[in-house]
Amino acid sequence: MSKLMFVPITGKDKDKILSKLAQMFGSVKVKEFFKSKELLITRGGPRQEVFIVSNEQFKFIFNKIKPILNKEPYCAGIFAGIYGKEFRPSIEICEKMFRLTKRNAIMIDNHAALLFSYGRDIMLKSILRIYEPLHRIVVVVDSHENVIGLCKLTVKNIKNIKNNNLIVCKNVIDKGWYLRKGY
Amino acid sequence: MNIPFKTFNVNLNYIEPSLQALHLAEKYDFPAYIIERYVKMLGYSEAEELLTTAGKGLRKAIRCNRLKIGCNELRQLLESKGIKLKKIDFIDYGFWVIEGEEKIGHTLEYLYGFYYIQDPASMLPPILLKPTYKDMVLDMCAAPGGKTTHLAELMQNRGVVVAVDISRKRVRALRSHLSRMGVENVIVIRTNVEELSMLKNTFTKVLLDAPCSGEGLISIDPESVRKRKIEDFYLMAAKQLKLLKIAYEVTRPGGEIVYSTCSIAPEENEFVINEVLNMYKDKLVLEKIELNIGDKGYNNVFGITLNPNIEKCLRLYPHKHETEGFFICKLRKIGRK
Repeated sequence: MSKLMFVPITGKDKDKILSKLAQMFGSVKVKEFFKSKELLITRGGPRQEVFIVSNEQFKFIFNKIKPILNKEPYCAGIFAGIYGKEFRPSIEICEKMFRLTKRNAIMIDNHAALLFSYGRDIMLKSILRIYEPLHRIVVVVDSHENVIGLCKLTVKNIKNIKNNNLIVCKNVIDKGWYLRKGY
Repeated sequence: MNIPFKTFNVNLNYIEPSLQALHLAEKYDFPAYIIERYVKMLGYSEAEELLTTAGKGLRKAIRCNRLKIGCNELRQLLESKGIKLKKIDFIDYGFWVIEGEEKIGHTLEYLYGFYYIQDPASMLPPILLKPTYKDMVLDMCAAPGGKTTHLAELMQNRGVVVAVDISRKRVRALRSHLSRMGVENVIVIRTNVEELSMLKNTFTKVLLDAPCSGEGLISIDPESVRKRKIEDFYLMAAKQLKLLKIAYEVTRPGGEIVYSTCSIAPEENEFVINEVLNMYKDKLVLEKIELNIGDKGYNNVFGITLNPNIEKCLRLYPHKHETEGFFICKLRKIGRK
């Protein structure tokens, strides 16, 4: 395996990431959020991780860490997700975008929130509120709008479902992961 | 092995145990030389008070993460779950956990990054370093991230914190805590901190929470204190001195360094500071610490006279301050910013 390197993301790769986030949270706020930020991607490692850094962080990495220390960062700024065939956004970036947009999320009751943090899926009866429009990957929040994780909708139109016990959203990642596994 | 006693210009006669020390050593099952040091540092009765804390554990404390929540709101949320908090006198956003200690690491609020479980002593170094968004900060032995996340919070997630650690496992924990706490302004580098010396005059503020013998953790882990040999303290001190030299090199003129350890051993603290002050005469000065807690550092201990300014350093003890045993001091590199 070649050496892991942090490189700036440009062109099509950057568009792919931003358009995925724009599908989830709308293009206006996504553009605004990324306006004065730089995107970096890891190449040569087991997976391509995407990080969002400030201009100051970017300069430090490219003016000091790489040329002087001859090193690569382990991580930097905000972890934005994993880049592959498809871009898979992280909880961290989805949390930031949800705070800005209040869309693409479901609010669940506190009991379900606790279970979700242990990796469980979401039944219809646990949902208290829907923040439309919804994408396939949805932010999960508790009754105080604290982000617990991300889930993947298993139904096309959640509002048409009658069976309260039906699993309507499958756990993709939750914050309990920090304790169970971590990076 | 080459034990660096000479570096610190000491005569090891000071560890010859007195009768008093032998008595306490028998009573508390500690090596006599360790007790002799405590008696010389604190006096007989206070040394015994310290020994009574061995293995008793410490009260848990949390630091509210103001990047994510207001401290009053956090307090209410936790109290609704049966976790009672009491404000720590000397830290505005730190709380003792009075009831519900067993739950404190298992709440959703913890996962949301609303707080960090941390001994109050460990909350002090970032407070003392006082970084702002204008600073370029280095956290030299950063993992698992208690102090790094605190620095980021004080900087309101702006500026840059470079967090360095060599351990793969601990760096993973650091990254998890950064994510959990919503930290954005950190760059983590997994490397041997000695390699940083190439970044001369780069940082405006440097935090060196140095690896140490852990002698201050006597309340939590007395066994590791019992196992220590005098050589261990000096080997650790040599390493700490090396790290402090690196801290000096990478700090910009006019910049500040906070040095801390979770050890109460003068060998790892005052002796190291004394040596570095000798080494960088007129280029490095100790700053006064404006905190409402702690004892002064020793400028005369074990019969050895040290730089008088070392009393500006701060010592914390489990029997006196209810924290880990801790040492902390602030240095400024002379020169124009």
